[in-house]
Amino acid sequence: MVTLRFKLSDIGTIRLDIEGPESFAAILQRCAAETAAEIGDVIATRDGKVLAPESPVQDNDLIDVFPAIAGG
Amino acid sequence: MFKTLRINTETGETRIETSEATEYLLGGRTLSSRMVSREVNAACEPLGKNNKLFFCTGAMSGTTVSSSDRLSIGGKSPLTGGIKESNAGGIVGTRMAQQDFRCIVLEGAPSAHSDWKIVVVGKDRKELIDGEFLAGKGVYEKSDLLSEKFGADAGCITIGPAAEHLLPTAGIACSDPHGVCSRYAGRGGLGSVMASKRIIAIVILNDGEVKTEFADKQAFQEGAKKIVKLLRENPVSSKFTKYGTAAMVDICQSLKVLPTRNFTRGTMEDAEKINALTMYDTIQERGGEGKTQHACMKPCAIQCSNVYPNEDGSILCSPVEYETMALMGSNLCLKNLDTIAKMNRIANDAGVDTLDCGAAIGVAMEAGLAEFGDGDAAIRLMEEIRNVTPLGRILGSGCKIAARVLGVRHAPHVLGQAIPAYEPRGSKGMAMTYLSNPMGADHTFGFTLRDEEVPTSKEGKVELSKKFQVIGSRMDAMGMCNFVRYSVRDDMTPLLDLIKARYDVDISETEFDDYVKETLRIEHQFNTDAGITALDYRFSESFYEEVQPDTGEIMDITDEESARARQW
Repeated sequence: MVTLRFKLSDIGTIRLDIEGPESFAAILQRCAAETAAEIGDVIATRDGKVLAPESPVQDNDLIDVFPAIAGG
Repeated sequence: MFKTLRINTETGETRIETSEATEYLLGGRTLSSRMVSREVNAACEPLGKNNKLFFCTGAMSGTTVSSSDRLSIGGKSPLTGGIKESNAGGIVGTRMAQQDFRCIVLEGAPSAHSDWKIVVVGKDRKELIDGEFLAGKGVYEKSDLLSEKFGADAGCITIGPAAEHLLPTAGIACSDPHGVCSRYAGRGGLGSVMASKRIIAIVILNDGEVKTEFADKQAFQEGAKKIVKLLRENPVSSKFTKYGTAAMVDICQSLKVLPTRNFTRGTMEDAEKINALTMYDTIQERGGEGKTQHACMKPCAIQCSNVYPNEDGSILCSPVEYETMALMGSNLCLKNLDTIAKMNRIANDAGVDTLDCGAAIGVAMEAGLAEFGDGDAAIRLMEEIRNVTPLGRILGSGCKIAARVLGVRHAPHVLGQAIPAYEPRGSKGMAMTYLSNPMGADHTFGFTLRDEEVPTSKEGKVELSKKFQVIGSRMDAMGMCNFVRYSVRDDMTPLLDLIKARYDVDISETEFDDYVKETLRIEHQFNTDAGITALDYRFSESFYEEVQPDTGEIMDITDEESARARQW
């Protein structure tokens, strides 16, 4: 089970079953299919490190997903 | 034909010039930096009579284009010793457009003890009048007095007591749409440059009768609608509408770049107490005059600003932005939004930059003048700045000078300007941008953070920073809000089409970017001529020596790498 917490978003938390490592981009696509809300550009972190689109996601991972905004 | 109003602050004489050059068409930083470069001797004293202060509107000023009315202010900075462009929202640009001025220039300087003057610009008057009644008052009181005398719909520019005493972190406050001088061109100490000319306020009356002309009105209206559509549909800019820039607290905490404890850490325990959700909920619960959305200029489809209320719903401070929440919050280990908002209000009233003062107070806390986390002490230190006490003058001189006086090595600045709210050892892209900016450490100049796959690595960051230096500077180059950049970063055509529809001038994307890059070259040359060398574009040595424990990183960017990022 992978847990994605969408911060500052109406999407909330999504949990997905995975059988083996999948890329973060693929995981995000599965999330998009599960929710009606637009996900858009994101910054994702796992254990305080940035998750790139091609980064492998493993079972039991906890991922925080933020809208990719900037300061002002 | 674009008009410039020149005001000799020593003699009171005014003069109007005209030009058709493209730099005047674009306005904004394109114009202000070229005028500074041409007319100000780079070796001059920033607070002497040879410095000048330029107020420039942008290409879309006075029109219905969303988020297009930033006022660009340029001069030589008393904080960095180099060139400075600082811009603000508000209504001054609109009023200048209605009076048909692209630029207002303050020149010369009377003796240091001359009476304070107000510059009044109206359809039948361009004159200096007595401004002594404003002297010594806070910006909020000045703002009320200016509204009372000239009307709340006048476009007013004023300075606080910190500027009157020539402190290097003093900014320039501009009228918001409600007639309150709360929109700051805060960085670089340009408020003190204005004060050195004994000008305490500039008032652009709301009696201008100039109507905006268009080469193709229908195309312009369609283009303006397209900008609104792009802003509303863009997932980045639309997110600002709900949470504003405060959303960055959680992101930076997660990336371990939230400035904490005088930039020695990248995370703060209980950071959620000052995050966007807490701010949003607090504003909603308190109601009254509080607003989670607020436009700093009209029209604006983003409305990223806010009004933070007291417990009884009355206004405490507007706006409270992420950079302030970090520099006056986590950087001081403060976990109370009311405390941060109170400090922000004092800063606005004193007329000082919140980032530079937050960083200076962080240095003071490291020196033992107060405990990290002590909100009452932080407010007292801000009061010292507002009251211009000896300690307040030290803190109001910025963190570099405060660190020297107080015996602290870890001073978070580049060129004397405080580092914004992204701890540089945890984001080498942002660090590269800080080291590359001719204005000193700044985040809007080249915001890389959201596009860094490995923020802690310096690999590829010269190129990444340069890419975003151009993207960020495009908005400054024509007086647009920086947050429009998300909607046009891959295609500037919507804005260039508006220029064509308004002025009947074709500017290609390549030509536009050439202007942007030429501006950067001009700015760096000014700094070189001012005596700033490659050795000045460094962080304090402690950033290179001491590991930031949350990321395990030190600063490893070399002089050669940062020099390449400044090469245009």
